[in-house]
Amino acid sequence: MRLPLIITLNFVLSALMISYIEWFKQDEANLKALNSTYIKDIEKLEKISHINQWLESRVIPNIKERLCEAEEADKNLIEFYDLNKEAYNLYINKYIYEGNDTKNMELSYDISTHDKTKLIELLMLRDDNRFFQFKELCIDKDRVVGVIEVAQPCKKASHVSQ
Amino acid sequence: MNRFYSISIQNDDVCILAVQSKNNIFSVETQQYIKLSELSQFLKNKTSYYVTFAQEEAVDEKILIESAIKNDHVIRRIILGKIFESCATKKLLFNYCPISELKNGSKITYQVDGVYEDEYLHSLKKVDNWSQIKSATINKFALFGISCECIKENSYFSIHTFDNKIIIIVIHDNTLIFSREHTIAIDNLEERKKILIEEITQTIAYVQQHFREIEFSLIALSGSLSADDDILEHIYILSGLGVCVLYPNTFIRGLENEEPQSHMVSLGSWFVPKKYQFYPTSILGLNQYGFAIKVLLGFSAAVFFITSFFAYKQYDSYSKTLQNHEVVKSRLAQLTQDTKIYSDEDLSHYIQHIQIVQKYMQYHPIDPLIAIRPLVELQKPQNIAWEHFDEFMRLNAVFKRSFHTLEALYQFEKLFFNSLQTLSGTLYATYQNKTNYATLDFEITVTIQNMKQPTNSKELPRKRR
Repeated sequence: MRLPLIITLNFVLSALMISYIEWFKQDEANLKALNSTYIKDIEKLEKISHINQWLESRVIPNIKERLCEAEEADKNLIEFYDLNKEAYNLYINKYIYEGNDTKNMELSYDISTHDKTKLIELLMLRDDNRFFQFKELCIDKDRVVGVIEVAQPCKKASHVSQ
Repeated sequence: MNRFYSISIQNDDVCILAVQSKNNIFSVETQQYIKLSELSQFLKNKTSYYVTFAQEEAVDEKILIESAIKNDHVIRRIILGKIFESCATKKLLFNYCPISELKNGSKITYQVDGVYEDEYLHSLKKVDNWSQIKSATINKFALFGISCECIKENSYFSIHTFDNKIIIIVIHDNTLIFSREHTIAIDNLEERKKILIEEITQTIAYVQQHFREIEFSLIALSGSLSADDDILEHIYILSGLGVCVLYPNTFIRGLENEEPQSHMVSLGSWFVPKKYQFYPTSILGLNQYGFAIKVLLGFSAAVFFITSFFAYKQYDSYSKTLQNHEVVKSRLAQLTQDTKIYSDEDLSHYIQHIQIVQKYMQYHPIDPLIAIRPLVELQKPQNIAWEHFDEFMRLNAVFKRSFHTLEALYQFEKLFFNSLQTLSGTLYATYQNKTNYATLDFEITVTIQNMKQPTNSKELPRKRR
């Protein structure tokens, strides 16, 4: 009577083991699928974190530095014109107008070819608070003439200050 | 090491030997005599029985059957039919085997040995647990078993006496070809001895007469007569055959000196070949059931171990995945906590700013001027015009020079075009050649732009050699 009991017990335990195997397999497959999703999410978050670092170190500080109120932007442009008018023979082509988050002013310039220092100065114009975009540059025997656009980033009314 | 019980049931008396076996060496641990009525009580909780009975009546027939008949079932039915014709109508348990020497033309003589089922079962019923019976037979076959184990001759007699009984068996080619059991009920020792010798010698003479073609070599004695030298001498003189005594002490231990002689039938019980064991159907069923149970036990144990092994492997793999999951989950939680998520509005603001920066930093007249530096080093351009609007940028540079000889113009052009060829980068360079070879005035307008546009001007020339 003992042996049939042991046999039955063996088969019952075997069936239990088989069901465990199936359960483990099923659950492992679910876990693997979940892990795969988590890993993709982690990769995305790492990318986001990387972009955040770049934004925080390179973009946001620049925006903070450059952004000013619209009125202040106008003043800055006017100030720039007044300061450089004589040096580069500036002439207002297009008075202050709005761009995308910028206040712009289009100026034409005229420098003697022989005044290389001024020419280099003009070509190397850099400013932390504004952008310069050459639109035209013509160099002939005596004169260097052209058009430059000065862009002053400024806040739009809708933008929340950072 | 196996332990089993050899049970010899002689009418109401039972002799039980408890035996241990290891590597074909048997050791009798205990010997016990009990009454038949006490047997079932004695065997409680004991396993592996080898049983032998004293049965006066047994079937010992030689039956001729056509050699063409080979089917066991048919042979058994023919044997049963012939036995019922000749003697009894009692139920039989029997085994048969062909006697090769007695082939008779197209027929084969079968030696049939059997017991009467009712009497046999009457004795066997005293053993309660039939599933533990490993072998069941009657005395003469037990004697056959021990004789075959002790004597390696081909044809011989084996004679055993105990109490007032005498068993004579004739063995040829490991087959029992003749047997006789007789009871001598005489108390006078001399008279008894005389009759015993007579009985033996007459039987030997009969067998030798009946089986003329067999040459017998030996008479093996055992039991009470083996100790009597007079009988041995008489048998030797009268039969003319060598006489020996069965002496199983070499492979059966635990019995001193002549002790095995009184247990010869019990000792032979576990050497009985299958063909001389008689099982009722129920024992066979029980044995088959026992065998099936053991096979099933082995199989179930194997299945259990295999499934356990795979379950363990699966669990191991699962726990590793679970650990990995915990690590990934905590890493994700940490990153989710640490990563700042900007609002869409902020992000679109930053993107707009980046676009502004890109727009104002993308094109600058310095870039194409640096690009044409090799040409400028050869000839200062007469005028340069650079313009940019939206995504388009273009630089026109006019190079003029007058020469006195065509050779000088040729050499200069060669250098100029070589330099023009080396202009690299993402800018497209084309030129318009307006050189007047009559007046030797070199004039080329080089155009550099950021994207290909259909122009009338030529593409860059092939390198001049």
